[in-house]
This record gives sequence, C-alpha cells and structure tokens, in this order.
Amino acid sequence: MTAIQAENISISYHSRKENRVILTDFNLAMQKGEMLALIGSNGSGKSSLLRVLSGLQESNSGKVFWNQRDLSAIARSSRPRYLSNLFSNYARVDGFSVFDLVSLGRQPYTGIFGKLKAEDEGVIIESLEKVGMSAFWKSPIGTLSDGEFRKVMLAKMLAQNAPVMILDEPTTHLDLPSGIEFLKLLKKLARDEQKTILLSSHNISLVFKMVDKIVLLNDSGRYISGTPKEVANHELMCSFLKTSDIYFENENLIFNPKL
Amino acid sequence: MLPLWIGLTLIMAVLFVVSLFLGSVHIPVTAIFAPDKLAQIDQHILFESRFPRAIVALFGGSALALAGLFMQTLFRNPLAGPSVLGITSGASLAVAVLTLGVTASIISQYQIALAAVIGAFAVLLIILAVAKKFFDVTAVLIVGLMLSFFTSAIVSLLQSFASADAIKTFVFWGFGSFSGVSLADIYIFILPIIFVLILSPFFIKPLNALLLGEMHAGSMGINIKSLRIKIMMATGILAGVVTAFCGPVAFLGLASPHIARFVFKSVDHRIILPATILLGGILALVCDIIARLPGSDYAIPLNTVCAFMGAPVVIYLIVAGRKKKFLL
Repeated sequence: MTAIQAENISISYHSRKENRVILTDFNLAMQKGEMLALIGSNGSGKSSLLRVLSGLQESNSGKVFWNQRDLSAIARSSRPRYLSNLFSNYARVDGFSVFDLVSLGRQPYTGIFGKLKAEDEGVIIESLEKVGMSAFWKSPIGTLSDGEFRKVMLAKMLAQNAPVMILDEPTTHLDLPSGIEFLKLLKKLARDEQKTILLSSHNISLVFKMVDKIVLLNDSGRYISGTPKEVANHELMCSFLKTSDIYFENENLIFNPKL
Repeated sequence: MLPLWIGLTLIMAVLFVVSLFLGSVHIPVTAIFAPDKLAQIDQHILFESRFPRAIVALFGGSALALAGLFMQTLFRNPLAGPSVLGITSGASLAVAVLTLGVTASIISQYQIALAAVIGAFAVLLIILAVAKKFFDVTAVLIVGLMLSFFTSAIVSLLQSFASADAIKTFVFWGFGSFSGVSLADIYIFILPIIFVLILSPFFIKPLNALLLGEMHAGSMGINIKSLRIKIMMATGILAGVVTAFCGPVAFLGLASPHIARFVFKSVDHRIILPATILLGGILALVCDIIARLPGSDYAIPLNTVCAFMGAPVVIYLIVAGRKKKFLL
C-alpha cells in the first residue's frame, strides 16, 4: 500500500519565449514510514516537484496518488488531513503567539470559526513539546530567532497530524546542531509514528545518512532514485557535484573533498 | 478581553444616541422618552434627518472598516484600504461623467447613487477578470491602483471643461456625507451591507490561513482563486454601496483595522473581524458628529474630519506599536 505515488509526472514551464522542461516522466512510490530526500542544484525543480506532489501545482502530465487514490479526485478541503507542508518561505506575521500559530495547524479539524476543542489544545501542546518549544508557547512570534520560528512551524505541521509530510528545504537557516535535531525528529516520526516524509535539502552530507531513499534531479529533467549508496555512486551524482574533487566514502556515507 | 468588548459596545450605543441629539438645532436628550411631545419640526429633524444619518454612519463605517480589513489581509499590505481595488475611483468617474459631462438639468441624489454603483461595479468586474488571470495577488493590487490614477486623470479632464456649478456639485459629492439617505430608502443602503456582514464570519478561518501566505492557505485546503474572488466581491459590495450613497469616504477603511489590531493586541481574525466592524461604526459616528459642528450653523466636510482624525491616529499607532509589531 503506497502512501504517496507519482506516475509519469512531467513538469515544464511555458512562456512566449521559452519552454523549460523541469522534469520528464517522473515516477515514485513511497511506503508508509519511509523518509526520502530530494536533492539537486538550484533550479532543478525540487520545489516544483514537491508542490505537484502536494497538489498545489498542476503537472503537465501524469498522475499523483495519495493512499492509492487519484489526487484529482480528492476534495481540496479534505487534503490537509492527509498531507502537510512546510515551505521554505513564510510571511512572518507578528501579533500571533507561538500557541496561536501552532493552532493554525488544527484548521482542518476545527469548525466554521476555528474554535479549538480540548483535544485540539492537547495536540498543540504535544507538538510544541516534540520540537522543544513548550516554554515559548506564550511568546510573540516577533521575538523568535529564525531557528526557533522554524521549529514552531514544524510544530504547526505536527499539529496537523497528517500521515504524509512534505518539507521544502527545512534545514536552511538552521545551524548544524538544530539541523541535525530537526532531521532526527523527522526520522523518529517516520519510525515511531509511521509518517511518510519527503524533504528537499541542500545539505547532502546530512541527509545521506538519515534517509531511506534519495532522488536526485538534474538540470535537464532527468532524475535518479535509489538508496543513498546507490545514488552516491551513480554517474549523474558526479555531474551534479560538478567536480571530481569530491569523493564518496561508501562505509560512512560521507562526501569528502580531495584536498 | 470581555470588558473591552462591553466597553466598545457601550461607546457605540452612546455615540449613536448622542448623534441623534447633536446638531445645529438643539434637541434635548430627554426627548428619547417622549418623542411625540417634541415640536413638529423637531420631530421631523429627529426622525427624518438625524436618525437615518446615524444609521448610515454606523453601517457605512462598519462596511468600510470590514472592506479595509479584507484588503489588508488579502494583499498582506497594511496600507491597503477599500479604495485599493479602484472601486471608489470607478464610482467617482461615473459620478463625474454624470455631473460634469451631462449638461444643465438638476441631477437627483438617486441618479448620482446609481451612477456610482455602475462605476464601482464596472471596475470590480475588470479587477475580478484580472484576478482570475494573474497568479500573483500583488499584480491585482497594482492594476487597481493604476485604474485609480487613470480615472482621476479623466475626472480632471472633465473638470477642466465643466461649468462652475457642475464642478461645485461634483466637489460636494467628493466631500463625503452620511446624510444622503432618506428614512424611507434606508433599506436599500443597509440590506447589502447586512448581507455581507452576516456572511463575514465565514471568512475568519480562510483569512487567518492567509496570514502566512497564499501557499500556506492552499496547503490548508483553501481554494485560493475562489477565495480571492469572494473577498473582492464582498469588498466591492461594501465599498460600492457606501461610495454610492455617501460619496468617497476616506480613511475609515484604512484606519479601523489598525486600531482594532492595536486595541485588541492581536491579528487573529476571530477577534479582529468583529472588532474592526465595531470600531468602524464608532469611528464613523465620531467623525460624523464632529463634522456637523454641533451648536453652530456651519459644518465641515466629512472627509476632512476623517483625514484629520485618521492620519494622526495611524501615525501614532505605527510609532507606538513599533516594538510590538501588530501591523501585519
């Protein structure tokens, strides 16, 4: 039973001047509890692919399946119960407390005006605990650092409690310890709660160690997918790294520059 | 927070009653209890003039305030107001064509109102068509602003060819006034506004989702294109109706949401939506009372009072609220 599946997805951008092909015939099948990292250079289409898989952008052809159901047949309002997103850019709104912001994650479950029930409040508090931000629940968003804000946004995503989680570059702006903490939390969710997690990242070294599968997108619409070891040794990986001054240690899954 | 709500509701009720009794003619407050004991002419002033005026101010202020809130959240821009879609300018243009372009004959209040409605909705239709095509909401904002400039230019052109009398009529319309609706016709004014006010709570959740950006709202299952259209239509109705009957009233729509956010220290629309509606009514009543310079024989234009009050208030809010940042 696949949690999320892509079948022959093609994405391209058309304008009067040019036709940019981002991705051709992309296929993917993820099981419950799997964690996948999407890597590729800037402009290779990672964000576009994540948006298509999230139902936020139309692909030119192909289908996306959530829990074996065709995405286009799933009502928009019930989608957030199955899949949650963490974007790389957010409008940072002051005037909200941390608790209020995380409570936005409960919107798919609250009534017409968004009133929170005791159950909702419990989920919110639990989510804040998981990311280690419980002490900040009353703090105004404007007083948080970038890293703290991102953790709160992750808590919001957790409060949404969707089985599939798609994150676009979640570790950018985070220092190394926070980045590792973040990914470890995601790994725990995948393992303990069987959440299916898809993230894109520039931090190759970090993700190679922590995920089950890697998908690499290259600039001309091609892609490779496989386990970290498989992808690391693939020729497309070398052209992605653009220089043979980096070599991959199979044992430790580390990329080392040749000095 | 409950005391705040009660306090504001009381202030609104008091202002409403006060506005019935202040004006160039003195009517005693005790007349509430025995209106039929008043002189015939005083009764007429109370029922036919002051009462409808107070109602128009209350509903007009609330309508503009809500429209301002919609625009500020939709465009994520604290400088947005109901006029930002160009609707007010469209109404102005239509009224200008009527008063400055059409020759001689006396133009009735209703012809002006009708022209304003047509102008407002014509611009609204253009804006909606643009909104359907463009992905980026800022583009819609810019088109609305440019339409405002464009219509202003045409209005200036018409003014340059018109007679002094015609210009005077148009300028007076531009002052803004809550006294243009008779008691018998008050329903035409308040029904569309009440319609939108009743539906407005359904916007609370989507507006809160929009605070984090359109992409985020989309990920919460909201159909963004459809939401934009609905918000713009609601704004169109509110701003169009008020402009049609009251002229282009400035500032209330822009300032009320800021004041609401400042007073209630929140951006959560569950609080701010009703708060803005309440404050809009209060502000309109205050401006209207001041505009009629009670006790004297003179009056100043509504828009002048709105601007005198509105501008310093917004500046104060920005300066005082700088550290706490409740702007948006």
